[in-house]
Amino acid sequence: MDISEDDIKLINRVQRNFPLCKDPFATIAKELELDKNWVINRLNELKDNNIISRFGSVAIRKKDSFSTLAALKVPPERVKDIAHLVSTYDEVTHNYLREHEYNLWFVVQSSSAKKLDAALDDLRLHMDFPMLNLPILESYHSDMVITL
Amino acid sequence: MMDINQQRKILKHLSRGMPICDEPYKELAELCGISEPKLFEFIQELVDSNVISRFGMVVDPESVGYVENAIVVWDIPDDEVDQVGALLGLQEKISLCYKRQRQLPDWPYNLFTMIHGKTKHDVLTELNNIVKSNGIENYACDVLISTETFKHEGARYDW
Repeated sequence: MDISEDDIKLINRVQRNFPLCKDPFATIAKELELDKNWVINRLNELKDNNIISRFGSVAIRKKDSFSTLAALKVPPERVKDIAHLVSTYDEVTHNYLREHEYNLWFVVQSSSAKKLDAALDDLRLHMDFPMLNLPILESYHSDMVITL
Repeated sequence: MMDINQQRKILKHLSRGMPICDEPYKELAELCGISEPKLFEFIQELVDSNVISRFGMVVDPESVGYVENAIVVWDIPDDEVDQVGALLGLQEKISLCYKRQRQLPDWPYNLFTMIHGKTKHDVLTELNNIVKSNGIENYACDVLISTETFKHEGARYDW
């Protein structure tokens, strides 16, 4: 999808201080000197193309005990196999290779502390590599506004 | 005055997302049995009291070219970590900033940040700027650049 100068103005504007009034897209269109119907259509296109993922509230993340960041130290020649094995766990939501001695980094998430621990125990049992378990103790920030 | 169930219902709808259309708030107000001005007042309160961090549209960083990211980890003394964490959380290119449990002796780091950029070079330049402009050169830090994604699902801003 090609992004025009008007798209950039629009994307930069709609991420914060969104107008709270009956017809907010008219307010935004007026501010940016754009046509209101174009604004609505274009934002829907940006959403259909997954550039905008949501129009709504961004939650403040509370520390929770049902998710953790874990890492494995895997010999380079085995890392792809192990990565695919780790990804097969339903509880694993994100899994990245990173440039470090601990090279496989993944998020484990579950609906209870007990289930999370069980998933981690199972991972430890099946992976004979050093593993880090790094739960969140405090959240200072979890959001990003992008200025194009 | 809204009761707690009404408030929960509104929060749920706001977090799932609203339609992009003429009068986007109308349907939600009707659904919850309140007037639109009351709904505006409530959303403003959510922002002012930090129940939500912002109200507006969420842009997917990767879709607009921010395809590279690094987890940057820091070893910050326990009595300073809240202050440094709050400071780093304000940086424009940092999407996540958490205190995590150290795992000694293997893992001394307690502050985790995620920095985004269009290229690896941009990510490292940004890190350099953040370190200099916040005077945090003296803390041990390590950079974990991502080189391959094996799985990425669910909500953004989680890792």
